[in-house]
Amino acid sequence: MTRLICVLLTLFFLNSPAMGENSDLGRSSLAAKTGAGVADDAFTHGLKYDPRVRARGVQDPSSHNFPYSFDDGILATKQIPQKNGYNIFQQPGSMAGKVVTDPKTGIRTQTYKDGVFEIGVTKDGVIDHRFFRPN
Amino acid sequence: MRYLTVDGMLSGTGIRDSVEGGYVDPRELGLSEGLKSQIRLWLARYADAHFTQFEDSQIVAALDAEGFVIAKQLRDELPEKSKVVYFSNAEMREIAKPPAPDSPPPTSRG
Repeated sequence: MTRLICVLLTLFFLNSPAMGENSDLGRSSLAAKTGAGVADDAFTHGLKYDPRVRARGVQDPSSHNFPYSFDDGILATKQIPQKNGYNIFQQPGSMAGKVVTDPKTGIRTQTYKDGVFEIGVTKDGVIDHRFFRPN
Repeated sequence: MRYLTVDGMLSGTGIRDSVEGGYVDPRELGLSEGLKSQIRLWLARYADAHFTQFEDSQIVAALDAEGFVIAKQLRDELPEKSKVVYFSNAEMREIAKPPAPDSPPPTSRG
């Protein structure tokens, strides 16, 4: 049990964008200028995250704090251009919802909600928006 | 008692459940057409500001002032007793008072 908790904690910290090493694995489309207040990604993917991403994840985890390991797949989708060189990437998926307890049996069931994982990238290649939008 | 936060986050609905997290569909709250329309237009303008990384502090102040008014209207229209606060997506903080029109621009944005 203790070992399992250690493994989970390690995975959690490896997923954090503010920890670990930074190495560019060739994500040229997101090659970024590192400006003030921008944190280098720690998940060895060379992505750049605005601090607001993490703040939002802490503040409203149910909408924003999905694993950072998802980002590669989301960013591989076709970009949706917005104003000022901003781009949005969206990938359908599902996220764990509430755990529902059957009042008769007491059996607890994990529910899931379908939706879209969304990432926003500024014209400078910095991720400043991560969001799961339920359908 | 319901706890809600008005919040102009990109791709959000404008109204967040302060306790459960996630965004609430304004259509589920029984709001007036006028308020739903105002929220929609305000969100579109907030999204435009996001695309420029909130670089224009006057636009941000105007958006937050309007968001504050929306929060008050929402509280007035909800059928059940509710606590509604306003959260500035640009400033990344809850705002307890509407921003003054000639207030100095903020020094930092998270």
